Amino acid sequence: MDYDLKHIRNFSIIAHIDHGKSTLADRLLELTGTVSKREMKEQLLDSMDLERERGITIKLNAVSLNYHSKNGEDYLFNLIDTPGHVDFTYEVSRSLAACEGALLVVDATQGVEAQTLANVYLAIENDLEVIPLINKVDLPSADIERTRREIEDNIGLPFDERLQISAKTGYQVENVLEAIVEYVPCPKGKEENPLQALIFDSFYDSYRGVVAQIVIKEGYLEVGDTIIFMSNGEEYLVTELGIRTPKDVKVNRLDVGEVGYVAAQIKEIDKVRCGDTITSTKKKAMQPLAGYRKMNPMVYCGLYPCDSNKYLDLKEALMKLSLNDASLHFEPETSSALGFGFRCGFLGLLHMDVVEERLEREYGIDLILTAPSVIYHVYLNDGTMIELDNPSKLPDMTLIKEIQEPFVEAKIMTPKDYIGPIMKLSQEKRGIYIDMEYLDPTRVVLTYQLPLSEIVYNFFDKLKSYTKGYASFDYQLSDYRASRLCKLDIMLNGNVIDALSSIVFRDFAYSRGRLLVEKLKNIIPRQQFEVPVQAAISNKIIARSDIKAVRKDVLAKCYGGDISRKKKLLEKQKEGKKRMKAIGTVEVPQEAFMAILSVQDED
Amino acid sequence: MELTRGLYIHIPFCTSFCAYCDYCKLLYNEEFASQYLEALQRELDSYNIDKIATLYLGGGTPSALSYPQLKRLFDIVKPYVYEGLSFTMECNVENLDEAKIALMAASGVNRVSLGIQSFSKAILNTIKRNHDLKKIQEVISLLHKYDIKDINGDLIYGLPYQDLKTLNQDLSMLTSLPLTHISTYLLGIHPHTLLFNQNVKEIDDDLARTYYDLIVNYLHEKGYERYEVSNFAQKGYQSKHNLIYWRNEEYYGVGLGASGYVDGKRYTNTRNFFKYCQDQYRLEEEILNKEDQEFYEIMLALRLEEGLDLNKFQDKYHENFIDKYREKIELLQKESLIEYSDINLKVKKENFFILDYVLRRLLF
Repeated sequence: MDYDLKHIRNFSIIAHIDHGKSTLADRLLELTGTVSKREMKEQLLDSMDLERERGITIKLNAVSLNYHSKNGEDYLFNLIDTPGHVDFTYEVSRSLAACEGALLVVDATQGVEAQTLANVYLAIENDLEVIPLINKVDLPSADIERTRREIEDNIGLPFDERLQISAKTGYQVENVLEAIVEYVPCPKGKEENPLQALIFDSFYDSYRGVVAQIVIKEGYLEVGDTIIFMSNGEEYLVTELGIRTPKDVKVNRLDVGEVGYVAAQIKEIDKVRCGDTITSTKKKAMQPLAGYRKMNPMVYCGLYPCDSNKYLDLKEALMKLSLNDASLHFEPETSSALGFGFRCGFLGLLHMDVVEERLEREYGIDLILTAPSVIYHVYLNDGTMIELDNPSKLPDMTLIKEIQEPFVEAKIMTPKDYIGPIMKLSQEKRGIYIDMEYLDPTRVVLTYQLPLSEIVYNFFDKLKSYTKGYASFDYQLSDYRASRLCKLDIMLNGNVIDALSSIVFRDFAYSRGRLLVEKLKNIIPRQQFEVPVQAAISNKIIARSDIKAVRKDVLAKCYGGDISRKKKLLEKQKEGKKRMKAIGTVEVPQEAFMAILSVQDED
Repeated sequence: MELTRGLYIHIPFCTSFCAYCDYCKLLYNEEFASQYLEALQRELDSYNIDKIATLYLGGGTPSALSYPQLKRLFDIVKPYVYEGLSFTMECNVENLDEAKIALMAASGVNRVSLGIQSFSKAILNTIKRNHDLKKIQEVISLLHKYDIKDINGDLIYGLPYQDLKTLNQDLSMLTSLPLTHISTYLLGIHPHTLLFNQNVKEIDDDLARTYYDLIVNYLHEKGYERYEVSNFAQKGYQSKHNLIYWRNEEYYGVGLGASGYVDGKRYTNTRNFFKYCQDQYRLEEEILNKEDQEFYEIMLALRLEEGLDLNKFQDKYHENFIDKYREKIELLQKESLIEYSDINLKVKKENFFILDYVLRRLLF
């Protein structure tokens, strides 16, 4: 069916993790008959296994729905999904750029949370109409009145009484559909203008090449048109257009305001960038659309294949992942311990985790990750500054005038009972207290300045355990500050293992060094000879522990039935060995390279 | 490949359970045992076995069978017994008497394996065994009387209440007996055993190694040479049947929970008594490709002092073992873990107790 602009609504859903975004999306799909109950599997838009398993949305995803409104008219809804986690703000900003409106889902049992605010501000920055919904009103612990007050007072959004819903049971969800018709503005482009289509996502398909998800902001696009990517001038012939319902449905034409996908036999994946504008040779646009806010990686780590023969596979996989994850940065690096790999930049730890899992699952590459590091600014005596993302590359201390590290301003929203533990935690993490503000008699926002390196380690996990999960947390980079930092080296058999070096706060260095060698002694399996593990600062040994030589490693009894069992056991060990890296003659398991993270749990 | 295979027959019945045992076992019950022997006969018949290389009655406790049942069992195996066949039967001294021994000897049994484990009262109590040196001496005299002189004694180390002193005492008493063969086993604590349920822990690796080295040296001095990780024999008395396992040769496994290796296929029988009696023998089968066979060959051969026979490997797999693993072999040789000649490749004597470590370095 063809729709004029007045009958198209492009919107996304924003929400804090667990506030019910994906469930609401499922209900909307069901109510509009886009997906029948029978076809429905939980959280349909979360198409990655990883997303369904973890109950989070990582990648945005778009789907088209047809809706017959109570006003008697038919509408085309394009729902563009957004991730909820702070690490994925970049993704949120991409999906918002493609919309005119956003549904804000607030959990009636939790109220407005710090991160919800961050995404709402992003939506308002993008000139979107934001429609607040109160979800989970069916739960006994729902506090609708308080949630409503928070929406109106803290965000300043008017609340429509009809939008108290339960996405789970479907209660009042049809009101949401009506609200979309009523409040979300229709797209503003004109068919007769030159084509301007925004790429907001893309993926690689071995048959069709790069498939880009686009929204037509101006003009229209037909199969057979020649398109131009405005950032690089590359031209391609359009071979396929379609919309997702959520299955791919081919169409011959995408009109202004519509959301769909385009394939043009593009085999070079680096030619297609999210945020780029597509125009057409028929009538070429003069200007690209405004891109969206670009996010810079905050956390870096080394990524190496366990099997060094897989280096090129890893490169290929990283290229494919970065195709629809523009926030993923990578460049080749070499480590004397780990061989050839990549230094990768991530938006945060969850982002890092997700990329690692996708590489292992979707591309079947066993990986070794080095402990994450932030970017340090190292000022040398000669006045030059190095941006250091790899601790092992720190120049000799005698050449260094000072080292600066990134600080963030963190806002922690918490019930007031946990103020004490949070202050203690923030202090331990070298935090500087800035402000405390009561949102209401029970809830408080604490503002701290913290070194990003401390957050990268286990601040978030600790915060959760200190507050039984009640606190939420958001941060943004504030500035760089000089700190008393030094490089902590780890030596195995007397050789410095570059991949285990870290930059630490000087006052923590001794205790961390001691804990780390103990930890490594326990993680690294016994080898034929005794292996000393040492920690050193500026070539001075500060701690040592020895991995004893293997003394017993045999199955004593091996007769008839033991034989097959023994083989199975050895095969299992073989699998385990794939995830080890041989450094010299020492077999080092994958988790050793992350040991520094867990060490800090204990200090 | 030689066509004669070993034959292992499993008798799962015991009059009492040892606290460490996770083998396939049932408490002895006269009716079940009789029923079982008939099923055993049917399974054995189903293989059309011609000639066998060795015969081994294991358990469980084959000697737990009553005299008439034992007679029935010997009737079942009679077609396969011939002059000079190595025929072993596992026995507990608790349930052997002169009548049974006379029957065994008359039926062709020429080797007996006795589950001794320890002589210490405290240890025997915790593992639920009830015998003493005197009883064992009496049984051995009776065996000798009927000309069964090839006798193995089992010893377990790493037991609760054991220390260097009691282990020394056990070794001293064990070697005072006229045994031709000694098997020693490091105690492993397995699920579904009494020790596991009592939360008994295995001893640490360093202590296990100390005990093992003590045992190897002690037995060497007494004239028992290690020929496999856990097996020691006087000259000429290595277990022919068990060598079949370690030389990766084929054998029939008959009975409840038994395993076999026939026509390049390894199989394990069910442990379900009722299924077994309804002639549903198989629990699982593993069809081996060349790579699997090589893996087994190496894994097993390196358990032996004689090591891997390189010519046999070449004949069997049409591959030169040394060439195939050259890089690793040279590294392991440099590290004094293995040694090799034109004839064979072996783990060095001092590294038998870290055999799996060596295997992983070699094969992965």
